[in-house]
Amino acid sequence: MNEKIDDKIVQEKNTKTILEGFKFKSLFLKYSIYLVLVVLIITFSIVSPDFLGAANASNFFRQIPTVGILTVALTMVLVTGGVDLSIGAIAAFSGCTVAYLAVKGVSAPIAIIGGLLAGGFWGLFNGILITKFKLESFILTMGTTYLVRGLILFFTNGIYIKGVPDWFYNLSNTEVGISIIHTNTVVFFIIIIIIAYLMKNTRFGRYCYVVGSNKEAGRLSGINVNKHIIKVYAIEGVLAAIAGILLMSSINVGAPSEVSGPDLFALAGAIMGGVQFGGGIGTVGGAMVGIFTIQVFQSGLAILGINSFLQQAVTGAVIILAIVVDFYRKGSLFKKKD
Amino acid sequence: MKNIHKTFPGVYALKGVQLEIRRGEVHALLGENGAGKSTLMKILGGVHRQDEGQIFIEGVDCGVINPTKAAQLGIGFVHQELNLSETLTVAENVYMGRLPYKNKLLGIVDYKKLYDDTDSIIKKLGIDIKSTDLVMQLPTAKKQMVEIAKAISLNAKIIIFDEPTTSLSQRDVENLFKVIKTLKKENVSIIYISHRLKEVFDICDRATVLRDGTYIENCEVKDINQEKLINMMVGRDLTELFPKEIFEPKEYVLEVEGFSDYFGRVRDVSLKARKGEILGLAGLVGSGRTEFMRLVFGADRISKGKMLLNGKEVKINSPIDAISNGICLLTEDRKNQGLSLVMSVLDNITLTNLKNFILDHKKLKDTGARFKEALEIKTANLDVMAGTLSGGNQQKLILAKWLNTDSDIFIFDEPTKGIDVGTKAEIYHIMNDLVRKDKVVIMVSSELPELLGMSDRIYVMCEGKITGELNRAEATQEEIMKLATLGGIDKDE
Repeated sequence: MNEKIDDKIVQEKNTKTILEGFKFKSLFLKYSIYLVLVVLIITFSIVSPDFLGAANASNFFRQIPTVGILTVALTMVLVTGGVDLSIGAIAAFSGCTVAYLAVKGVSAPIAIIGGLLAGGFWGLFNGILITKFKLESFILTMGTTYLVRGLILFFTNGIYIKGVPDWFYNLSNTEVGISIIHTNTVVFFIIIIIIAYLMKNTRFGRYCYVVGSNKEAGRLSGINVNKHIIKVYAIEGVLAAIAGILLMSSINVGAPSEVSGPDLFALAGAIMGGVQFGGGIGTVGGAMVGIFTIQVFQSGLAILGINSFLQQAVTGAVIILAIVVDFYRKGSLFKKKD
Repeated sequence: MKNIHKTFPGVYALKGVQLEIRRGEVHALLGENGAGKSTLMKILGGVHRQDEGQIFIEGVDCGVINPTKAAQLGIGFVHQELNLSETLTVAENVYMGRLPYKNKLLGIVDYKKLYDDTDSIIKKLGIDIKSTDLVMQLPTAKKQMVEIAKAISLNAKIIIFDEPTTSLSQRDVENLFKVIKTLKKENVSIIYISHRLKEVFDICDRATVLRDGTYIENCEVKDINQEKLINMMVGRDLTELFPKEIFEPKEYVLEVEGFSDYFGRVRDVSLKARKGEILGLAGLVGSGRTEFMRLVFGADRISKGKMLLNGKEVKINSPIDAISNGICLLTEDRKNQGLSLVMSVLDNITLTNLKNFILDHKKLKDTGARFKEALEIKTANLDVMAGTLSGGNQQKLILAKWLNTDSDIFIFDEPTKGIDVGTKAEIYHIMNDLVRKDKVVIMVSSELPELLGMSDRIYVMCEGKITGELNRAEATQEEIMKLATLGGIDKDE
């Protein structure tokens, strides 16, 4: 073909440089979050030798399960096109329920099941209202947060539930193998594997992506969209309960005002890890990298001895930065074909 | 425009294309999807910049155009998908960003001047809207008029229409043509992009044909005929536009009796469809065709009526019921109702048939590959996002999705809307195949040639009712239009 010659000339002039620049930029954006995580770990370990030490590692693995499980749960909800701001409140409610039942002398399995049911109940509550009245999950769960937090304070009078039996403490704090890994970390990793498998390899997971990316197309393809959304919120509620129980166990009390903070970090972590607010896009793996990044950053700042108030401000700034990067990444995703 | 070159990463979109527009003419820009029409227009409109080549307007080399410069040069663009702020008034949309001020410093708007100016444009165009109407209350056809008014208010000398008639009814098209003729008298040049060749002969003076990013020919419309145009566009002889095959009609499978909805858009409609034929459903936009089909599919609820499948009554309350009874609907709105655009081609194809809770990725991939090959879906691989495919390939994707189920009844709503000539024929072939395999095919369409070309029997709807049933032999364009406009039109106007 004689067009080929023309083709080549122009390609050498323009396309080559455009293509290369394009590729590099999109690759960089695609893996930016991994890059940030690696750079953070390297920087902190150079600046402070304690960073990779046993004490800090142990501390890290104590903190990650709660916020990590919340991240997994929120990832599922976000992919399905919703969000749950009440996840922290649900976690606190469930944790306090178990602590309360434990103090009352209820046996461990029944108390735990009670806590999980409480989480599942609030999940169902959110899911049913969202589908029944076509509510914005953002607005509804804001209300649920106040409702649940208020109930917790009413039942506990706002004071710690103390005097829990030993089994309650052992739920999170039993060593498994080496000294820095405890039961809560193990539970966390099992949950990652289960939910990641669920999202990637099952019909349930596939429907999450469909509902999140296009509800109407999903409905017209024969998916019972409402039922699916309710299921997702119910499972998310149970996961929140697990996170709440593990947290309260690790501090050995029923703490009414806990799990506020980690819930927002979980949301930020998921979004930093490439989960799209609005649905349809994101993986559990990506969300995990996102939340690990936030946690590494926080523990790094702590070990450098930076003023703890300033720590909070800096963490906030980094989250904003990461989300800006995510915005550009999404842009490159959709611009690919013009 | 002379010798325009444009490359995108990986694609050589325009290879030395030229285009010449005379003052006060309607110039058709033709070509299949992907021929480069939109790219060329986006360069003229300042959305993209050319890699090579020059643009002259009234003999002056304009260099590279950006959107602001395009407006100054008097280039207006009426997009296929309209760009209006729904909650504002017509006038505010027309003068968006250029509102007249009483006091510039405080930003106080001179509404009287705004509405007066807009009204004078509307009057000039002879269209039936008020400058104070809210855009969201207007039907699509009138929203388009707002876009035209906007272009006029910018003193546009060249107005580009990108497939203006895809979502318009026959009557709206006629109104649009009236406006275009008015513009012509005002010495405005018009570039007209459309897949409907009939319109080209109705309204255009000259035509430029592009194919695969190259310039093919420029000709006077009165010197050529439809076959020749198609030949130029696809580069091969399409022996016939509609590859209709006639089969022996068999027993009735689907019988709908007295369907009505809750909103009065469908009123007491009955229909019978049988194996071995394509059943056409005609009617103007808003006649209730789409709404009726949505009822049959269970996407909306019926208030009255019953449905028989193979002689047995069935209750369809949701798409899930319909699908389990072997009914599927290929929606008109592919992007919002048919596909999950951010999901992969493979995920979309296999969506309707995920039988097992645990997914067998290998098996799904095989299914996807099979359909990609069978329907010739043009995509680099199965992991590409569905949203990046062209309209024709998206339609094939939706087809694959339903062919992957055990459906017996295929309802096509505007199956070839916005699809190029070559792919259209492929879709018709698939319809023939379905009929051959004893499936029931129902086709809703606004394009009369398509209905006449492919259907064995045609029902015509008007204002939510069926106003007639025609056989292939007795159906003509005039007859259908008579039935489609019967009863309602007088009240309306």
